[in-house]
Amino acid sequence: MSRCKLLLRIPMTVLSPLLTMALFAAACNGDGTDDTPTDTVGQPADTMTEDESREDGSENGTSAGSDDMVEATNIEALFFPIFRPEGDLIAEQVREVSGFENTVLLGADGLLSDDFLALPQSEGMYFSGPDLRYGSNTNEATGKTPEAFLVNYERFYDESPSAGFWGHSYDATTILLDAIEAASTVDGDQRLVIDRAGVRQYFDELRNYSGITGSLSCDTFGDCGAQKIAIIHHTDSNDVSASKDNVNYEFAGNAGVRSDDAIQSELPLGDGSLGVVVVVPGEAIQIRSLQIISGDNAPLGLTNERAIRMAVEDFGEIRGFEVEVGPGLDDLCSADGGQAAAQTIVADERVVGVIGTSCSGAAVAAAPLLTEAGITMVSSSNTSPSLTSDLKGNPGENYTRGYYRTAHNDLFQGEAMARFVYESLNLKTAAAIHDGDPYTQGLAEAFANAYRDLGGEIVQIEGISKGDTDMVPVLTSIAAAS
Amino acid sequence: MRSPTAKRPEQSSPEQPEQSSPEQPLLEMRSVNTHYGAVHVLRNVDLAIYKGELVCLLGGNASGKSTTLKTLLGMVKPTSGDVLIDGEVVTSTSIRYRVLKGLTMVPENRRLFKRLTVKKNLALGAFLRSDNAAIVNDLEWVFELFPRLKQRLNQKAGTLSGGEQQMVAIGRALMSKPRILLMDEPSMGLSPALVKQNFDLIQQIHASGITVFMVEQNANLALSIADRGWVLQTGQVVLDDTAGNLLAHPELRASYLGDT
Amino acid sequence: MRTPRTGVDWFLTFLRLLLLGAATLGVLLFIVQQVYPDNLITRWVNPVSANLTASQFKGLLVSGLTQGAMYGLIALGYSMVYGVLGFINFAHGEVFMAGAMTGMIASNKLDDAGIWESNFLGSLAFVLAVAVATSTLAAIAMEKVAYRPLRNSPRLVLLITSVGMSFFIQNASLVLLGAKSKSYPRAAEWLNGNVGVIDVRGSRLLVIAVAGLSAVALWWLVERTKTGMAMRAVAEDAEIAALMGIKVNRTIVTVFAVGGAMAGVAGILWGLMFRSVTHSTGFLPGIKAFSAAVLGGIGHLGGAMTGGLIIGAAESVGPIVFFEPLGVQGATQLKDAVAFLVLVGVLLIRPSGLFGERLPAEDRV
Ligand SMILES: Nc1ncnc2c1ncn2[C@@H]1O[C@H](COP(=O)(O)OP(=O)(O)O)[C@@H](O)[C@H]1O
Ligand SMILES: [Mg+2]
Repeated sequence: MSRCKLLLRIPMTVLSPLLTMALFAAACNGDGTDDTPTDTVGQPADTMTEDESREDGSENGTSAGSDDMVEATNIEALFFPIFRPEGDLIAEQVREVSGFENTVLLGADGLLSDDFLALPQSEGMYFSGPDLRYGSNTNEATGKTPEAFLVNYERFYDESPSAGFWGHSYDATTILLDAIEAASTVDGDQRLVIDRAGVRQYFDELRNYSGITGSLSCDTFGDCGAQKIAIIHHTDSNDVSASKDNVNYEFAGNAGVRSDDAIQSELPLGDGSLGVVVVVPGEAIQIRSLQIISGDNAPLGLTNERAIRMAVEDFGEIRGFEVEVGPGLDDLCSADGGQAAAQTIVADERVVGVIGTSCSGAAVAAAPLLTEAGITMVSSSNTSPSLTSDLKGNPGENYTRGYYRTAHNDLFQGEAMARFVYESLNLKTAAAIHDGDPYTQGLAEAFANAYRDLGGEIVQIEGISKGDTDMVPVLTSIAAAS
Repeated sequence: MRSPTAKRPEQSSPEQPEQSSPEQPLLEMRSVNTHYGAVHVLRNVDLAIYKGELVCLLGGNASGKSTTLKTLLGMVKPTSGDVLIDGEVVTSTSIRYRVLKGLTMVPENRRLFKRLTVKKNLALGAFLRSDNAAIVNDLEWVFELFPRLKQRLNQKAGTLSGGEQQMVAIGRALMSKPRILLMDEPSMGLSPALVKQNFDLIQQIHASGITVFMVEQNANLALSIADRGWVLQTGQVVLDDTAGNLLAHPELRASYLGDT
Repeated sequence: MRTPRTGVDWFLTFLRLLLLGAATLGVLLFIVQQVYPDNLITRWVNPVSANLTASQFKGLLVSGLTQGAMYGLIALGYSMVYGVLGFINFAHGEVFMAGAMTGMIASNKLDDAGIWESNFLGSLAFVLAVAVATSTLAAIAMEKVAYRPLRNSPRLVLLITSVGMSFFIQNASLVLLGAKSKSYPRAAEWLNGNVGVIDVRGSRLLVIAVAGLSAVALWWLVERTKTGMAMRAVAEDAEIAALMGIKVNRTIVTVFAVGGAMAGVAGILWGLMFRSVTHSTGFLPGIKAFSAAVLGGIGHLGGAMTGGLIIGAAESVGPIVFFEPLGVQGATQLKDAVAFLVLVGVLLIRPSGLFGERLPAEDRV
């Protein structure tokens, strides 16, 4: 082949199809952004800072929309309740896609870590998450207040907790230990006999347990959390702690289906249906911590694990028996990681309960294995509705008996975010992005459903894949769909 | 059959007028043995080529002719024995060193860089040279020898005809400004007319002062232009004589010259 | 002389037609939809499919080309090494990662010292030099330690060794630097805004410009210098190259070094563009770049660069232009699939890649 022909092939192969498409795109929709009306932009709510309010009045009403053309609207809010580093990239690239120039960015607890808040592109974002203003709540088992816990935490670890679920982890652990106490007896040989079914019964009957995170009661499908959500406004990447305290909105959900009457069962709890664990004198009661302790989301899991160890320490012995957590296990924030760790745990028949996982995606795989083995699983930071219920009496697709959690159900978080965006920020069109993980997908959908119910327009819910770097296509797809 | 392997430098073609009766050979092989793995290919080979000679190595298929050339150039290392250039032992030196000493080769099957242009192929021949003016002169000389190449300069070597490829191969070798040119079966794959041309050309190159050592299966033609020759059989030198004597040698006539 | 067609030939022809048909249909539907956004077909096939404005299309294309420029730079290394040694150096993606990683460390050091912001271009040049040096050294070390001792082994052995090297480098980074993703400091403000009449983000222009310059520099090296001539000669016939007086080992090291340098440049551009790096950053781009090299015709440098641009553009534009109009939901999640589909499509029609010449049946894998 001659050199000339070869050279010609470059433009032919690369450019011709692209050029054709570009020409069509230009010819048919030629005036670019001009035909995207901005008349739907509402008045910014008072919680927003001046520089964010959008006053492109000049563009108002210039819509060239002929009748057969779908009216395009700017997307006013974009909710991406995903993790790092994909979240970093969306925040970074969103402004270069036309249609997102003024969009308000919203994240959730998956991104709410000090590391992410320190990134300049996260400035201006809103984040939903557990309401961390615990005031003078007191954990009824240990008598610890949030303040006392934080003092201890800093003394042990030389830093304050870098992610939000420490209170949930602490409460989850003391409830599990209380449950073990309520389900156990010391037999004639001074051995501790723990009834596995009794541990679960304690959770099922839990009402108004006073914890650091508030008052905990378990519903029929394992949701035990206080369900308090706060939304913060992040204004300064150089002052992360100020942003964390900058609560713009708060929301308290009503727990799901349950009877609120306190149940008074006789101790010890349990009917032996799941067997017993016998601990001989000198041995310790075995529980495990299963959290994300490596990688980008390690701050979440490490904080949880530390809180678990502190709760065990504060709780002390159960009927003269020590409690042992053992080395922390890693859920890798993935189904594979959850499954592998669960298999390790069930191989040890002495294990009574597991505090974990950190990530809903890992719980989906770990919960069936653990609960099948009679172990009680309590998560302090899973929030996917699929793991418990839709709060209307229908179990989620990944619900298994023996699974409980002290974290909120994302239906509340989604509703909180939806209400905040629709009612407080007064934004009427929104889109959401998830990464296929049950937590991110569940939350994006919870938000979208609640937002639609309020009367807002959800332009699109799009998925990305973990490991994606170029977010322009997904953002463009959303912008184009509006 | 035991071959006459004794070295007789004084015997070297005294009847050739351009021969300047030197003391030491330009290129020499002393009782060289070469193996490919366990296969013993060259067995105690002795060769000596003097400045200004045109000599040839004859032998049947797989007798070790190419291996002899490769050993001389250092593309294959002998297991014992020595290779000498101007009396200097170069057995363990690199190909590059020997090329700098004035050795070069037109390899069997030409082995052009087929994806590169003719120009680049010729330039690669002069890879080790930096005397740009002289390079230009030599290029002119190559074009004199092969006027056809001038039109083919920017064509990829792989697209040339067999005869043209042969020209590039020889031109490339000449571009290194060799003192001694090794040629591995230069007439292989050429039409009879081209073979004749090819041998004329070799004589022309030889006449310009370059010592030529060629390997051939076409013994008749090779001996018709050569001063001296060796015959190789399964890695051993079985005959070592002047071209005239070799042509007349009955055994050789029987086995290589097609006489029956 | 024609050989009779076998079942395999018919099957291949069928595949070619299917692929071409689907692509053409997708493009046609896209065009129809651009002209009449509210047509029947669109409503029936995929009501939420995109109707792009020109500036959105431009955005897609530019983002694809930036990504593609990085793929292209990495692909050069795959292509060059394949050219001289005849095997796919699977650890090349990790060479890229090593550059991105050290660039991250250097840029953060500069940022801590306050130099990154005050003298951004100077810092960038420094960081680029650090990354290029690291990648180059990594590539050279890899050649010397892992590949040279195996030079005469079957190519498959080299291939498997390269997979091992890839794991080794990834895990070394994991052990040394941890699994957390690490961020580059933010690029200078003028790079984050959109630039000039073309209204494209500055950093994207910078990426394309630097990639273009590097490619031109490489072209100059290969086509206009003696080193380049030696590289091409060794690639084609190492034995004869040696006969020309070329130092073959040195040339092979040079090839690794130059490929590594290009990967280092890509690493910095990656850091500028996407900011975050982890030990596994090299994996997916490495696979894409390898595909780009094959698509362009492995061993052909222009082909590698073109292949990178095509794959980058295809995975950015393709899902919205081909798949959404065909009724695929969440098409943008298919972008990796699109990249490999394009590769398969090209290989179905041109088995040796766009610019590739059919290689002699040598021992190559
Ligand atoms: N690279 C190699 N590896 C192993 N054996 C070889 C190699 N090259 C040549 N041989 C063997 O060495 C012998 C001599 O080969 P060669 O020198 O090419 O013969 P000629 O050039 O006389 O035809 C043959 O038997 C050949 O098979
Ligand atoms: Mg031979």
